[in-house]
Amino acid sequence: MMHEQEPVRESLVLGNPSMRDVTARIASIVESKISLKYLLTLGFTATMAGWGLFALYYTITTGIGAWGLNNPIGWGWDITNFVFWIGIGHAGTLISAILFLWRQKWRTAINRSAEAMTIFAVICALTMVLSHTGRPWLFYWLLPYPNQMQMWINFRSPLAWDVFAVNTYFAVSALFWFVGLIPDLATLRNYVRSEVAKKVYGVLSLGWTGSTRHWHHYEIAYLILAGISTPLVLSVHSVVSFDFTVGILPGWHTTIFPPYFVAGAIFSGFAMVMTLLVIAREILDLKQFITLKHLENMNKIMLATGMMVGYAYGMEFFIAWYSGSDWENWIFQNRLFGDYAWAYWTMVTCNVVSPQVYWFKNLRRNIPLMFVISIFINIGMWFERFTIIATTLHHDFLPASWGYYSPTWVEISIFIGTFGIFLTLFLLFAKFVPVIAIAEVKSILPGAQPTHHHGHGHDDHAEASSTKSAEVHS
Amino acid sequence: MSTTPIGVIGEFTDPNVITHAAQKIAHAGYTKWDIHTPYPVHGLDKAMGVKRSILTYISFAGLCGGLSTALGLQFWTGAVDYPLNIGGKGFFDWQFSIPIDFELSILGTAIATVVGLFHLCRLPTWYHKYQNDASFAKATDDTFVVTIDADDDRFSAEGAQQLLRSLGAENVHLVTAD
Amino acid sequence: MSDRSQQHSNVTTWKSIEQLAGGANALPQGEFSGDVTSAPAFDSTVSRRGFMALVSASMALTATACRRPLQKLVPAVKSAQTVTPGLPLDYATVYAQRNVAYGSLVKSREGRPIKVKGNELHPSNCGTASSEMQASLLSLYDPDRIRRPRVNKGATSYDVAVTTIANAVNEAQAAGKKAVVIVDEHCSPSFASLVADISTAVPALSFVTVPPIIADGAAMANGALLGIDGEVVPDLGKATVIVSVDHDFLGTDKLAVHHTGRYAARRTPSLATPDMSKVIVAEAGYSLTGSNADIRVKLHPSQFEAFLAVIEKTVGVSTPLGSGLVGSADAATTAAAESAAAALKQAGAQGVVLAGRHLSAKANAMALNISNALGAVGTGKAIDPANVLPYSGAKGAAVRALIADMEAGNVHALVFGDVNPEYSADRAFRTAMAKVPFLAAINLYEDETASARISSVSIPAAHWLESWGDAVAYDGTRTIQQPLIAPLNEGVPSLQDTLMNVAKKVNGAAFGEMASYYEYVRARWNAGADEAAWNKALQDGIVKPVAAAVSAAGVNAAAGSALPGASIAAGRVLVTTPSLALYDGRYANNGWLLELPDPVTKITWDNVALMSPAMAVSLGLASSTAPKDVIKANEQVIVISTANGSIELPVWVQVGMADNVIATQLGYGHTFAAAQSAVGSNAYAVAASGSTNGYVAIKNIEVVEGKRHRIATTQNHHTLDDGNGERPVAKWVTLGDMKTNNLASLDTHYIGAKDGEKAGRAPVPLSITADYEYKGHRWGMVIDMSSCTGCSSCVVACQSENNIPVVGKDQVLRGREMQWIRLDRYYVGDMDNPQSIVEPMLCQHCENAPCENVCPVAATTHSPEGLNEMTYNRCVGTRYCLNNCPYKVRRFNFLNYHTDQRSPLDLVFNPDVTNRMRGVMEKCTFCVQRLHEAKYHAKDQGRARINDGEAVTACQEACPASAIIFGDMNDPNSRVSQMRSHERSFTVLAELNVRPAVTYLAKVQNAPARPAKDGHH
Repeated sequence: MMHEQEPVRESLVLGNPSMRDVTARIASIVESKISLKYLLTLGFTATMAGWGLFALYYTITTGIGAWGLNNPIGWGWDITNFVFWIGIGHAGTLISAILFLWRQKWRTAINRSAEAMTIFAVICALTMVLSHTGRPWLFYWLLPYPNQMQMWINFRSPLAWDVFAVNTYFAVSALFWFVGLIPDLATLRNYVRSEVAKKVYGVLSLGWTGSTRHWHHYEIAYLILAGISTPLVLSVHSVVSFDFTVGILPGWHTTIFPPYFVAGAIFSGFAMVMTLLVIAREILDLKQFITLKHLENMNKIMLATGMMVGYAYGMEFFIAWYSGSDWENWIFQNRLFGDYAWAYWTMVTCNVVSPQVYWFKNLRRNIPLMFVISIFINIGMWFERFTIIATTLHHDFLPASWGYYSPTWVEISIFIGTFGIFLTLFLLFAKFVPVIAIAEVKSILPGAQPTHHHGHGHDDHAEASSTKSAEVHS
Repeated sequence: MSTTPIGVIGEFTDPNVITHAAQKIAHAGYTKWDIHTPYPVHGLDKAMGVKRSILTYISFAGLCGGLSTALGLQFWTGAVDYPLNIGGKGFFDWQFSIPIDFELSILGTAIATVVGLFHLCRLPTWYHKYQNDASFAKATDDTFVVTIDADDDRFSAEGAQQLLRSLGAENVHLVTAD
Repeated sequence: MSDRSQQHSNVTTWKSIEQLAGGANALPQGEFSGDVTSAPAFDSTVSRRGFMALVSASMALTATACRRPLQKLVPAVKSAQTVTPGLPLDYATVYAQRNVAYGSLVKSREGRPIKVKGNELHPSNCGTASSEMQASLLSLYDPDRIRRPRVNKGATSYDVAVTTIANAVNEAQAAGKKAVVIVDEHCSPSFASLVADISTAVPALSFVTVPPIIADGAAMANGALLGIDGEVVPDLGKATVIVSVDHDFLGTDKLAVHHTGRYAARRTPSLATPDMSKVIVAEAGYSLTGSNADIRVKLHPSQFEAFLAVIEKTVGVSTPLGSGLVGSADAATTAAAESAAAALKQAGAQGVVLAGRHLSAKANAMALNISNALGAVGTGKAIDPANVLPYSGAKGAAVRALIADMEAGNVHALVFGDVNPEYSADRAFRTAMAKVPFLAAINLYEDETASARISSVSIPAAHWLESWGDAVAYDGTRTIQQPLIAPLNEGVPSLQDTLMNVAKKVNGAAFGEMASYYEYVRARWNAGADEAAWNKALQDGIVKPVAAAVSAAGVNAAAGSALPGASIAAGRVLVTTPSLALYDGRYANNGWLLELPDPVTKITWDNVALMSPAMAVSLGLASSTAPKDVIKANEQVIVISTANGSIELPVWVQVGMADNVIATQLGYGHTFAAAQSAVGSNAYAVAASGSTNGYVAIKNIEVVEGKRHRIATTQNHHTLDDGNGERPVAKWVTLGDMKTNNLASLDTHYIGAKDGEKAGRAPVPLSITADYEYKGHRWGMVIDMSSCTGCSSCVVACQSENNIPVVGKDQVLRGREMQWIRLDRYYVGDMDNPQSIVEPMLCQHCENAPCENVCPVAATTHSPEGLNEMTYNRCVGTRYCLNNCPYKVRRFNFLNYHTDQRSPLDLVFNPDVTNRMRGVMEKCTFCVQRLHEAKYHAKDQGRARINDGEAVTACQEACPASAIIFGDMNDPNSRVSQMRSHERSFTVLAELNVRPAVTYLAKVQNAPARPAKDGHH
C-alpha cells in the first residue's frame, strides 16, 4: 500500500485536539450568533445575485438581442460562463472522490466545502445554460418526454448529452454531499443547545445513531459513490468539451479537448477552492484544520494541472500544423495575432506562466501570493473558454461571414450575478452546515483507530493513525 | 412502580478495548446489541461479526437499470417511434448513444446506492429507543457506546451489566422505559 | 412558370372581391382619416378577409369621391375561375419607371398584391425582375405615404384640392403667364398624348420633363450622328467584345436587367464551347460592371475622352471625332486604349464601345463612331437604331428654358407630377422655383417638394400598383398597366386622373364625357369596342410591336464634330452615381432597398464618400496605404464642397478606384418626415448642375476632426488571400484554362479521395454509417458564378417571398442582418486594381448537414426530398446550428423583428410563409412553399412527380442573369442534374464532406490560361 513507504508526515490536525474539541470547534461556528460582518457580506453577495437576476429577466423579456451576439458568433459569454462554472465544480468532486480513492487523508479538512462548492457552481452553470437559449421558457423541451408535438430530443446532439451529463453530475454530487453530511448533522443534533436547531438537524440527520452496523453499510455506500463520481467527473467535462469537438469548425473539431478540458477543470476548480479557503480559514478561524500543508498540496496540484493545460495549448498548435489543414493552421495563427489575441495572451499568462512560482516551497506556502495566483488562474481559465469560443466563431471558413463580438452590460451583469448566487449559497453553507467533515477528522486523530491487532513495529501516533485510518475505508 | 427494561448501556473510550470487547460480546452469543461510534472504527464490524453488506448488489442493479433505460430510450424514440433523418446519420447508432448510456448508468447506480443505504440502515427513523439516555448522546461525540437490548433471548439486566463492566466499560447502567 | 401554368383560364373582377368582402359600407369613412398607424381599419390585427373589406370599401369611396366606376381587371393567362381564398392569382401589368418598361406579373392573394415578378413575354426583362421593381411592392403599403390632400396647412377633400390647383391655372391664364406641370421621364404613349391633349385643352398649362437624373450625352450624340434624339439600346448578346467607358450597364443603368440578361448569355463557356464575350471597362469608381470586367482600366475622368480618342485612332476610324484629344492621353491611358482597340478590331462587327450617358455628347459620339466603324451599328446589329428608349430625348434644354422662365417671373404656377425637384434638382432650379407664386405637388410622399414649406397644395399620387396606364418598351412592345388594388388612400386617383380633373375644372369641355384616365387609356388602345382584344392584351401583358418602320439612316460622323466635350480638370473630382439599391431615391423610404447591401461595398443604410487608399492617405485620413492603416480612414467624416454646395459624408476606402476621385451615391439624405429615408446625405446638392449623374470638380475637402459615422456593412474588406494562401472557396478559372482543359483547381482532394477523384464534384463517401436513400424528388441548385453579376435581385426576391424582416441599421451594425441570401464578394489580385468574385451564399442543404446533428431538440432535420428543414415552432434557439454551419447562412431572430411592423406594412406578407418570432433560427428553405404549391398542382393533374422547371424558387425566378438553376437531382434529365456534372462545377468546402445540394459553376474570366500552379483555387 502506497502510504507504507511514506515518511513521517506533518500532522493534518494541529494541536492534537480531543474529539470533544473537534465537535465543539465545528459546532461553535453553527452555534455562534450571526455577526454583522457576516450579514453585510451576505447582503453584498445577495445584491450581486439580484442584479444578475434582473439582467436575466431583461434578457428573457427582450430577447437574446440584449446581448452582443451576432450572426457568425452565436455563443459568447453565456457558454463561456457555463463551461467556466462547470469546470469550477470539478475540483469539489475530485477532492471528495478521487483523493478519497487515493487515500489522500488531507482532503478531510477541505472536502466538505469543496463538495458544497461543486453543487453551487453547477447551479450557476445551469443558470447560464438554461438562460442562453432564444426561448428559455421552453427549456423543458430539451428533456425527452411524451408531448403534443410527438417529438423526442435529438440524441446525436452534444447539447442533449450535456443535459444528461450536467444533471447527472448535479444529482450525484448532491447525494454524495448529503450522505457525507448525515453523521455530522447527527453530531450537531446531539450537541447544539437551541431547540429549533436540534429539531432541524434532527430531521436532516434522519436519525443517525452511529451504529456500527450502519457504519458498515455507510462505508460501502460512500466508497461506491466515490467510485462512480470519479469517472463521472471525468465524463462530464469530456461531454462539455464535445459541444466543441463534435462541431466541424477549425479550432473546435479536435480530439485533444476531453483530457485538456478535464485538466483545465481541475486546475480552475482548485484555484476557486483556494480562493474560498484562504478567505474561510481567516473568517471562520479554521487554521487548525485547514493547515498550510493542505494549501501547499493544492498548490502542487495546480502547478501540475497548469502544466497540463500549458502542454495542451502547445499541442494544439502542433496538431494544427501536423494536420496540414489550411483552415486549422490559420485559426491558430489567428489566435496568436488576430482580433482576439489579447484574450489568448491573457489566458497564457494567467494559466501557464503564473503557476510556475509554485516550484518554490516558500512561495507555495505564501498565503497572500497563493490567493493572488488563484485569482489569476480563475481569470485565465475563463479566458481559455472565451478564446476557444470567440476566436473560433468570429473567423471560420468563409471570410465573407467573419465578424467580431463584444458583450453588452447585460451579459456582464449576468456573469456577476452568477458569482453573487455562488457566494451567497457558500456563505449560507459556511454558517449553517458543518464546514469540516467532523467524523472524518475524528477518524484520523492520533489514537482514533485500534492498533493492537496490527503488526507494525512502531507506535508513532500520527503515522499509525494515518496508516490505519487509511484502511478504514478499504 | 413497574419499569420495563429497554437494555443496558456501557461507555468505552479506547478503540483497542472496544474492539476486544466487541469480540467478547459476540462470543457471549448476544445478537440484539450494537456499538455506536462517532466515526467508523476500523475492524469493529468484523469483531462484532456483522455480515458483508448486500449494498453492492443493489448498486449494480441500479447500474443495469440506468444503462438499459438509456439504450431503450434512444433506440425506441430514434428508430421506432419517430425516425428522423438527421445529418444523414442513422436513426440509431451505438456510437452516438455512448455518452447518455454512460451518464444514465452512473445516475442509476448513485440513486440505487443511496436508496439502498437508507433502506439497510432504516433511515429515516426519527425515534430511537435510547435517544433520551445521556450516555447514548455521547456516541456522536467522543464515546463508543455499547447497547445490549432487553429483547435479546440471553438478556438479563445483571448478566449484561456484569459482562460490560468486566470488559472495561464505564458508566454501565440499565435503561428503562417509564 | 409554375404558378401561372397551374392556373386555369378565365377572368376575374374586383366585384367578386367586393362580394367576398360584403359590400362597400363595410367601413365608415372616418376610419380612413388621419395617421394610418392609428387607423383601426389598418390595424395589423386585421384579417385578410377584413382587408378585403377595406379594399372594396376604399374602392367604393373612390367611386363616390370622383365617380370613377370600378373597372374590370384581367388576370394573367390561364388564371383561376374566380378568386378562391388561398389561391394566388397573377395579374400581368407593367413596371414603367423613367422611360423603361419592365413587364411584370403581380401575385395577388385575396385582392392583396404580395409579390412583383417579371413577365416572361416582355422583351426588357424576359420574366426576371430588378430589385427596385420587386421592392416597389413594399412602398405600396408604406405607412409614410401621404394619406389626404392638403391645401396650405389643413387637410381637405380631393375636390377642394383639385379646384385650388385649377384656380391657380386660371389665374395664370388670366395673367398671361404659364402654369407648368413638371413630370418625370416616362414611357407611356397614353400619358404622352394626355399631355398633348391637356396642353391643347388648356393652353396656359404646359408640361416640362424634369427627371431626377438628367444625363443627355447619349441622346445628343445620337441626335447628331443618327438623327435620333434618344437613347439607343445596345444588344450585348450580339457583342463579343464590349468596351465600356464609365457605362455601368450591369449596375446602375436604367436597363441593367435587360443588359444583364443579354450579357450573361455570353458568359457561360463550357469545354464543348469554350467561348465567351470579353468585357473591358474603363472607369473612375468601382462599379458593378467594373467588378465583373475581364479587364478593368481605372482612369481619372479627365482621361475618358482621350481614352476614346486613342481607340478611335488605333481602330482607324475614317472620320475621327477626337483626333484633337489623342495628345492629352497619358501613357497608361494610351496603352490601355490601344490594347482595347486591338481586341475591338479582332471582334470587328461584334465589338461595341459604350459610353456612359452622363459623359459628354462628344464622348458618346466617339463611342458610337467607333462602334459604327467596326460595323456594329445598323439594323440587326449590336447597336440597332430601331431600339430606342421611348421619350428619351435630351431634357437639358427644356429644363434650362424653364429655369429662365421662372427666373423671369413668367411662371405663375408649378404643379409637380410625382417629382421631387426640391430634393433632386440643382441649385439654379431650386432658387428659380422659389420665385413661382403657386406650387402644388401630386406626389407619393409628403416629401421635400410636397411639404407645406414648398407646396401650398398637396394631393397624394397613386402607387403604380394602384393606377391604370400603359407603357411601350424600347422595341415597341406595348403593355397595359392595370392596377392590382384600389388606392389605399382616401379615394385618391392616379396622377393622370388628377391632371385630367384639373384640366376639366379649367376647361369643362376637356375630355368630353371621359370620366377617368382608365377610359382615356382604353380609348387610345382603340379596344373600346373590342372587348376580347383588350382582355387578351391585359392577360398577356404585352402586345407585340408592328414591325418598326424605322429606317436606320447611316451614321453621319461629321455631324459629331460640333458636339460639346466635357471639361473635367485633372484635379480632385466628385462623381455622383445612382445608388445600386435606391437608384435615384424615388423609393428611398423602402426598407428592403435601404437594407440591401451594395453589391460592391456591402454598405447598407448609407451613402458614403468612396475613395482609393492613396486618396485617403493624401487627405491625411490614413497613415499609409497598407490595409491595416487604410481601414482607419473608414467612418471618418469629411465635408466636400463643389461649385453647387457642400455635403458631409463618411469616408469608405474602396480598392481599385482611380486616385483623386471621390464617388458617392444619389438617392440618400431625404429630409422629410419619414424616418427610414433620413439616412445618408443628399448628393444631388453637390452634383454638377444640369447633369446630376456625373462629374464635378471638388473645390475643397475638409476633414471633420474627431467625428466618426458608423457605417453598417454586411461584409468587411476581405480578400480570398488571408496571408495563408488563397482560400479555395470562391473558385475561378480563365477562358484559357477552359480551352486547355486546365481545371484541376476545381477539384477538391482530401484524405480519402482516391487518386484523381474529382472529390469537389462527387464527394467520396467518408461516412461510418450507411447513407440515407432519397427515393422521390431530391432538390438541388446550381449557381453559375460566371453569369452572376451580383445585381442583388435575388436578395430582394427572397426577402419579399419569405417575409424576411428589415432589421434596421443598428442591428446590421451588430451583424444581425436577416437576408437569407448573402452575396459574398471577394477580391482577387493586388489591392491597386483587384478583380472581384461574387459568390451567392445561401443554405447549402447539405446531405450530411452539420447543423442538424447538433440541434438538441431536432428542430432542424432532413426531409425525404433532401431539404434541410427548420421547424420554427420546435426551435428553442440554442444557436448551436448557426455556430456549426460552415457557410454561416443561418439567421437568428435576436429580437422580435416583426412586432413593431407599422400597419399597413404587415399586409405585404406572403401568407404561405410563417413569420418567425424572436429566439428562433431561420434560413433558406428552397422556397418549400412553392414546392408544395407545385406538388398540389401536379396532384390535381394526377401526376406523382413535379416536372422539371415547374417548381421555381423566388431567387431563380428573379435572376436577370438566369444564373440560378433549381430542380430535382434524382431526375437525370433535369437541368440541375445536367449542370451539376458541368466541368466548371464544384461545391464549396467539399473537403468537409457535408455534401451540399448547392453546386457552383466556377467564374470564368476571359483571360489566357494560367499556369497550373497559381491556377489552384
